[in-house]
Amino acid sequence: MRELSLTVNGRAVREHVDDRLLLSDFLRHSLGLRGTHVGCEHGVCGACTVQLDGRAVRSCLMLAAQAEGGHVETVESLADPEGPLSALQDSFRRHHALQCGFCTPGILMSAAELLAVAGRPTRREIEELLSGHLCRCTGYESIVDAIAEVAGTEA
Amino acid sequence: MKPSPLQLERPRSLDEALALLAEHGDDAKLIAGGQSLVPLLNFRLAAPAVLVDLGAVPALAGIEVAGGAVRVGAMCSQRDLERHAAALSACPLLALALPYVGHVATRNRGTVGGSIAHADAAAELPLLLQTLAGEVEVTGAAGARLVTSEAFFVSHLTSCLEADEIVTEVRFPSGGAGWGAGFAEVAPRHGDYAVCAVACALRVEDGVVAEARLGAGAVSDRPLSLTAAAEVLVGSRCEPGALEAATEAARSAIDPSDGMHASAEYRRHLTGVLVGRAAARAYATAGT
Repeated sequence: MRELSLTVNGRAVREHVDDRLLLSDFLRHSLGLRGTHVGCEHGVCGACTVQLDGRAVRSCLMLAAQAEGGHVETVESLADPEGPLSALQDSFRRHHALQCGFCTPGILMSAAELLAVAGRPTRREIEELLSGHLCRCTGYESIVDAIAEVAGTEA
Repeated sequence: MKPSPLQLERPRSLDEALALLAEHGDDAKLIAGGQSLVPLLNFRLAAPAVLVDLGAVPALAGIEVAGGAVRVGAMCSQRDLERHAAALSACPLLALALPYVGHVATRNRGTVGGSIAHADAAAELPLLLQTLAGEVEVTGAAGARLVTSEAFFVSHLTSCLEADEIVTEVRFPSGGAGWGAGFAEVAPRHGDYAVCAVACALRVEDGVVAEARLGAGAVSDRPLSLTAAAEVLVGSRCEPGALEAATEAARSAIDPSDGMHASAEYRRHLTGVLVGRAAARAYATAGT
């Protein structure tokens, strides 16, 4: 056990954690942030993707203790529960970019980094980003459309 | 799908990390970005008693283009290297190959030194280092030593690294004027392990290949330098006949095995095809 201090969704957090606790399980079980979904637990499906210091990372591929001092953002940070959806989330809704929604939080956190970093990504760049996320419902095209609209990508 | 109980150590300096390795011996395992190791921990294919995390050692993260090489600190993330304009322009193979390394989210955590130390025979960065005959700086209690890529990669997931040593820097030779680069890979899905990958660097003078380097990944138990096929290209203009000869030389230089995604015969065929593609692209971009 160790004491872990970090910032999660803008809130300072201090918790005792097992050394072997994965960041994904820390977020879900210790903090109750169940928007981060756990799929394959070996880095392939992308469902557990969150942001660490502004970068999309697999929360199942790091220990919570490795995030010491860092800033973690989960899907819960994108919009106030009582307020409107973020532009990205709203675009997903309008483009039918989700069905069961299991993969969606991870894709949103990856897409949010892409939008912040790449300015106006090409459709190809969006597709490459989605290569790191498995979705079994949508066939992906609607997800590309949703991200492209917010990014202002040329059709 | 959770790691076995373990003790995590987060040293703040290289000396502290080396001391921890010396103290725990075979019970300890280094973790860099963890993008290959944590899946092994989650599957419990690896269950070290002590994990020594290099993530808090700040001295290992730099990138420098100097002395004819792109010198990358072992803990530099693959994503940082992918975005380093000076490094990519000095060693264009990096720009071509890094997008094939996993996905953006794994490159954000995955490190250059970690990928080299992991020594996966199908991984892109070891292939590049072997193709370019780069060097690995390895630091132990007695100090640092430079190891050639040829000596470093022993077999699949096995390097010449001793249990008490740490990869501290990776040196990719930079080409300079006249060099072109080509990279070609086939994988079941983007970001998956390669069925075959080929890297090529050529120096062209007056339209004629003066120097050539070729390497193939995922066709042996370690990344292979295809020297015979590269020699075939020297003196040529990468015309169809020369590319065909290099393809044939590459095919006969390898002895791949059957795998889940490809038979040995298909891998051999594919290696030839990718040699042709990578060499043609390297020739087309040389001198520009």
